[in-house]
Order: sequence, then C-alpha cells, then structure tokens
Amino acid sequence: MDNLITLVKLTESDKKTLIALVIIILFIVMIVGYIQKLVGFIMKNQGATVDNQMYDILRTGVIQKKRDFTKEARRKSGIYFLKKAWIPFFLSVICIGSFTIYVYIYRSGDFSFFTDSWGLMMPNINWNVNKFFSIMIPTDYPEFETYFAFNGSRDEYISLIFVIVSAIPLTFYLVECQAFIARSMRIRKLCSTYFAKDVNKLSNNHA
Amino acid sequence: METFFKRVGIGAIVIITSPIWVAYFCLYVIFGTVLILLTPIRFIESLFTDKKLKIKNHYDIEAAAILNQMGEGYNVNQSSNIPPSAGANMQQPNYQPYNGNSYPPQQPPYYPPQSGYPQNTNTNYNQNNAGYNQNNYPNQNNNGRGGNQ
Repeated sequence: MDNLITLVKLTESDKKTLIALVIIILFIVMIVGYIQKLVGFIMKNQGATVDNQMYDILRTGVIQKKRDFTKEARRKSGIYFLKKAWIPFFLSVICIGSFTIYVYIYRSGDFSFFTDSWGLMMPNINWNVNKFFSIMIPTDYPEFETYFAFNGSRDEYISLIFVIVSAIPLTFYLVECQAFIARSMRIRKLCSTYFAKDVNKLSNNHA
Repeated sequence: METFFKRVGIGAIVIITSPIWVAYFCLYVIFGTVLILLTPIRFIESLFTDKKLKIKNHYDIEAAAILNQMGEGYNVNQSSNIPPSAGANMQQPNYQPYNGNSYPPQQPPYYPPQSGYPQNTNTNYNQNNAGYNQNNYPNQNNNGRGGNQ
C-alpha cells in the first residue's frame, strides 16, 4: 500500500524519468532480440554443413533408416568438430598453460597481480543507486572516479598480452562449439522432417 | 510496431531463458573438450579397427558409386533395348530416391534414347491403331509385322 502511495506522490519529473527508464529497458530487450536473430542466422548457416555432408547419402538412398542417419550424421559432425577445433583448443591450452607456469615459477602461484593490474587499467565507475520497489537501481549518471589508465608496468603488460593472446583462439574454439550445437540441432530437425511420416505426402502422391 | 513488440518479446524470452542456454552451451563446450582429449585414444583405436577417423566412410563410397553409375548412363541398365551408346549423351535425371516413408516410391523419369531411327510423330491414331503403320523399326512392313514373315 505504501508503494502505491509512493507512486501517486511521484512528481512530473519522476514520472518522466520512469517513462525514460522503461523505454531504455525496452530498447535493451529489443537489442537482445535482434542479437538472438543474428545468432539464429549464424547457427542456421553453420547447420548447413550437415546438409552438405549427408546430401549424397540421402539422395542415393544409401541410408533409409532414421537411426542410421542420426548415427552417421553425428559421427560426421563430431569428426568435423575435431578437425576444426583442435588448433584453437591447443592454442588456448598453450596460452593458459604458459601463463599458469609463469605465475607458479615467478610469482609463487599468486594470481593477485593479474586482478590488480586489470583493476588499475579499467575505469572505476561509481553509480548512484537508490531503492525502488525493494530493488537497487541507478538514479543518476555514473561518476568516473578513474578512467582507463595504462601505466606501462610489467604486470600490466603481462596481464594485457595474456588476455589478448588467449582470447583469440578461445573465441574461435567457442564459435566451433556453437557450430557443433547448430549441427546437432539441424540433425534433430532433419530427423523430424525428412523421416517424418506425413499423410499429406500420400494424398499429394495420389492426387 | 508489431515487429518491434515481437522482437521485444523474443528478447524478453531470451533473457528469461538465458541460464538454460548458457548451461546448454557450457555442456557442449565440456563435451567438445572431452571429445578432443579422447581423440588420441580414438586415433590409436582406429589404427587397429575399421573405425577410421574420417568424415567419409563406406556410406559415402556407396553413394559415390551410385552417383557415378547414374552419371555414366543411369538408364542403360533400365531397359535392354537401349543401345549402350545411347546413355552417354543423356542428361542425368533429377531422381529423388525412395526414402522408405512415402508410397508409392518415386520412380526415376524415363528418357527415351536418341536413337537413329525416325520417331513416330503421328499422334492422330485412333484406338484401333489405324495410324500406326509407319516403318519406324527395321524389319517391319506397313502392316506392322516383321519383314521376314
């Protein structure tokens, strides 16, 4: 009841702020929706590999059972994943392994220099938050206490280079994992469409 | 406006179900990592067994053989009265194989051979084959019987 009274007591300025907040949230949700559309488009293209690999086999009727199709398509997809993903995977392992060995040899296993360096390099933002319906939300523009700062110390160089060098192969590996998921989804979809027992097909054939 | 709200709705669903998607993705990353780590064992196994670590296997070989056969003269084996040379210049039919689910199974279209004999272009014959008296085949006279008879 108190919350409702609070709503009634809102000034015009508060109401405008509230509307602006709702519009911003809707905009962010819409961007997420478009990101989903983009990811769906990419995964559709990645899943087309299954069609390329299985087209001749299905066209010639070598495989006529759903179970054989699933088994063979999954086998091909797995080997294709291995062929594409082993290089990024091992590059990532080498990067992370090298960094870990370096920390254990020269820093006695203390990773705090890594977090401290990134803490210094990244901006420190102070958000003015307030309670709104029991939720802490920002009520004003953020204040930058410190901006991006690169002092050029050895720790910062090591932290920065490690992250950049590791992130590239790791990204490629995650993209290959995504393609693996896309192929699995495509296999499942083909199972339910190509091998479907559709009575409409019978009526079309007899028409 | 409809598109906007549709996209907002999809975005909201994506945000709500994002923990499931992230968990699913993480599971696949772990599965892929295990797959890569087990590859040396599978490779050693493939050296001693028939399970080769190749994308193409016996299914692809069979499919390639069938396609090769279709490409070199698929209709040659369909009918014995077609000369073997006739199939060489034929266009490969767009054949959709029977997948075991539709009935009747789709049959490959029949393309007549490009033989040297004149084709019967007279389509005005009646049901009693009144117009079917041309010399379209060797050893055939006008009454439709063989020339040696």
